[in-house]
Amino acid sequence: MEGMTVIVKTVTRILAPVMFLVGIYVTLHGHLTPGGGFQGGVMLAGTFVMLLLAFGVASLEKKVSFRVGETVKGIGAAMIAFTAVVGLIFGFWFFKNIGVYWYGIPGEVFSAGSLPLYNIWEAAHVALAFLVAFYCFTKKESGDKK
Amino acid sequence: MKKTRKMIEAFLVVGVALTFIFVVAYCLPPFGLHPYPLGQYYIKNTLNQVGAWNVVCAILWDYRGYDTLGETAVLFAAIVGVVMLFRGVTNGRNDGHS
Amino acid sequence: MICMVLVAISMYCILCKRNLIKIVIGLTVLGDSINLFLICLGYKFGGIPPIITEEYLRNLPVFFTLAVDPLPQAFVLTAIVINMSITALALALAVKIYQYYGTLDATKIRRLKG
Repeated sequence: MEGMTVIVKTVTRILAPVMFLVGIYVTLHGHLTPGGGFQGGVMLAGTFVMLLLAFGVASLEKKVSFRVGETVKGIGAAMIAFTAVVGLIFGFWFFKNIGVYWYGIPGEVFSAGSLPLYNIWEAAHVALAFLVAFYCFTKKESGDKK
Repeated sequence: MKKTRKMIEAFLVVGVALTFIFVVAYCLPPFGLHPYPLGQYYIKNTLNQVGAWNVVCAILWDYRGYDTLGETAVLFAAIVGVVMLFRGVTNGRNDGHS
Repeated sequence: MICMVLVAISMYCILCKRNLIKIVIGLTVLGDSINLFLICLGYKFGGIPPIITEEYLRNLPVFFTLAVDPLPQAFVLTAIVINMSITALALALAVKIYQYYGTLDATKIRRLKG
């Protein structure tokens, strides 16, 4: 699948880093402003889809290959469960809000227990899940089994 | 004849669903004056117990963490299903050797 | 309200259309309209979003009386994610059906066998 014209490529080169940064900002400030894990993950996925549409599948597969996408998606989903279990190990109940960033003033980025960790893992999981699904949709049908 | 019968059945289903929604909408408290005790409990105790300013995020990850864990698992399973459906399709390489 | 019109249109679209992609679009619109209905349930007149900002940090009782119900919003977030995964699987199935049968018509798929 080839890419698009020169105009679309130039505009995408300008817009893609901005969209990436806004997605990371929405994810990290998930406990202060509206947003959070899932919303930031969707914005990152939008960045990937924009790059995939403008530059073609081949050039995106060199940067973020299929194996890397699947591995990091699995890591993101596993770390959510791991962060929930860590509270269980230390004697409290399941999903206890551990005090990783507890020693901060509410209102800073480094506050509110283990909520920022959850947001980061959720965003990574959702964004890469979208990317893996779009890689599957753009495969050509030369060799499917019946 | 088949097409008109199909449309009549379709309108019947839509009518039943809309009746249910109307009955539900009339049995609720009036619009804009809904008292919500559980929501107010969450709003009042977020700053002391969680320390976050976003009440919705604190609900999703701290008070109702199990639901979010299940939702993550559902998303993961759906994407694994999509990958499994497109298993034997190569990417259009012309030669037979990978 | 508007949600009921959307529900009616989407249910008609699911039942009476023959193209597979249009059925999937109807499924998406039905889920979105129900989510909209759930969010509209928890509204308060003169309400603010349930996010504590600096200007409400000092007078918290005003915030308690003005804030909108946050519970339906949390439920709807989960529902949006699940609807999205349903749409992804349905579209993957539609692509495989097209590769296998050669057509996307819902009435012709039952006749062509293998």
